[in-house]
Amino acid sequence: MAKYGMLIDAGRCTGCGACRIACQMQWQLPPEIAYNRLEHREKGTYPKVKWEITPVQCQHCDNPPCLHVCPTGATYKRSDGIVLIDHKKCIGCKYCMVACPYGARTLDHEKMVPEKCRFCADYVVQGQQPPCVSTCMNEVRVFGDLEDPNSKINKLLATGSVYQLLPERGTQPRIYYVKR
Amino acid sequence: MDSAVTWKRVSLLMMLLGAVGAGAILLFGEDVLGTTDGVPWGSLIATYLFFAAASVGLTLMASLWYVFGVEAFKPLTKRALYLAIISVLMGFGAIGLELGRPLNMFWLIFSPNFSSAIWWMGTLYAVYLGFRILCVYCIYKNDERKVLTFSRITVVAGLLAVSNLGSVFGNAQARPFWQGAAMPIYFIIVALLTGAAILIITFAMLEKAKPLGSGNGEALLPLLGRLLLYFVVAFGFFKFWYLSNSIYGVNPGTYEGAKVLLSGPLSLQFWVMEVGLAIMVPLFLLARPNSYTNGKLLWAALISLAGVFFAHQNFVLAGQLAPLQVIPGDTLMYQQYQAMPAEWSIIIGGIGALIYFSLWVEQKYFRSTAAA
Repeated sequence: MAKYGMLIDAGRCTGCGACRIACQMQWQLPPEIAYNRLEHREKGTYPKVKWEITPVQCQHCDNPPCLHVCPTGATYKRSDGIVLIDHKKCIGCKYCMVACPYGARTLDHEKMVPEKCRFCADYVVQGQQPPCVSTCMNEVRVFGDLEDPNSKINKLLATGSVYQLLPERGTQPRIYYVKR
Repeated sequence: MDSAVTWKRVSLLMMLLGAVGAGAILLFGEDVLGTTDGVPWGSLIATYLFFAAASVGLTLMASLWYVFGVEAFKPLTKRALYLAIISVLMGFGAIGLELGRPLNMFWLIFSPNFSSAIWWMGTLYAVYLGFRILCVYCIYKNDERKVLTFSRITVVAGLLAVSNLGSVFGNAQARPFWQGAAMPIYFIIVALLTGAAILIITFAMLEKAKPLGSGNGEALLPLLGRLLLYFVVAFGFFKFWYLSNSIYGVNPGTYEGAKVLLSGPLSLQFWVMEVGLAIMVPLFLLARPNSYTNGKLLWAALISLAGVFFAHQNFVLAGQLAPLQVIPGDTLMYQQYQAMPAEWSIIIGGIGALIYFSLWVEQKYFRSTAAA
């Protein structure tokens, strides 16, 4: 069974926002809703100042707090590691939004469901890449099967130095970041 | 009864305002609320906390006679039970409007997630309300033995429900300002404070309405005043140590949450409305039990209730306005939240409904009994 994950080399990101637009096109989202975002920050002191951009989205945690707090099990985790939402069970309590340490959820005001990145679950099982991956001109994101030793993501994870966001929370995120 | 008629009219107007706000929320959803992705829980959650905790507080006050046998509190028990039911129903109304898809709530039964504090909250409050209603039914039937049994069960269910309410926040690992074992205790303190204040208002008003009133308020009010004083002191004590430890420890998230209250965007609301109204003014009015008058107690209760509402709002917001530190070293900005008119109208409507239905119960059950 595949276990999907992602590697993000944020040092390559130009901040063009194509990943956001591609995701919005894929899921037919209104302009104000996005399942991924870019965090900007200034690093260093003058004259050695850098502008760093970090793409952030649902981390598809192995120990997802949004799943534990959901009162009806609307948030669930597939055997391939993808965390999804069953709309028909969601009561709109927004506890998942409060519980997510990554601020990855965004409320769909029409459906009243706290939405998030789906890792393009229906497409990746057919061997396709999520559009945030395929549309990026600098290959910031690499998506693949963490269980497959020959997958590109596994080879990169083996050779590079990586970190996860907020590991101290114990969420065991499935998205890795290349150290800068 | 002139004042009762006036209060009924005023409370009906308040309910009408609440109905307009409820209609707006039902029609336009989150668009008319001040909540955002960064601050998903707003004033309606605070309103729910206020009424849900108040209900258990009233139940605990009633238990002083029913469960613990303190005879001095016997006269307040029946009214406390009715008020507890009305209050929790108002709370359910507020949370029902806050929920985006309340019609899906049947999944709480068919697809329960036992690791969710909100699932336990719904279940425990449903059990609590069920036994509370049974209890009132048995009072109506004059079955004292069952009243005692159901009262004991309800006190346990109520304590579990309100402490679990604290646990909803205490479990939120992503929000360090809320997280911790202190929250269930805090909610029990707030519940007791709220319950005592509501009963003081009820009995002070009944005293005014004499000779028809049958509240024995003369003996009860000073007792309730002392209790309110103790609960206000406990509340202030908790706040002081919680916030001072949060500041002293400089733990990420906890520190920022405390700063939101002490010197951040909620500082005015914290110092004036919470510290001032929930702690300082009631302390000043209640500090000398020998000087208690009905008017003084009434004002202390009214002011502390207003303060407690803002304390709930501050509590809910402080945990969220403190920003999440997702990227190490990020420069963090406070989240923004402003309660919208629809939210205020629900708060006003909820208080109006509490007044209206309390008067209705008073006239239908207590006054008619007294007259007979």
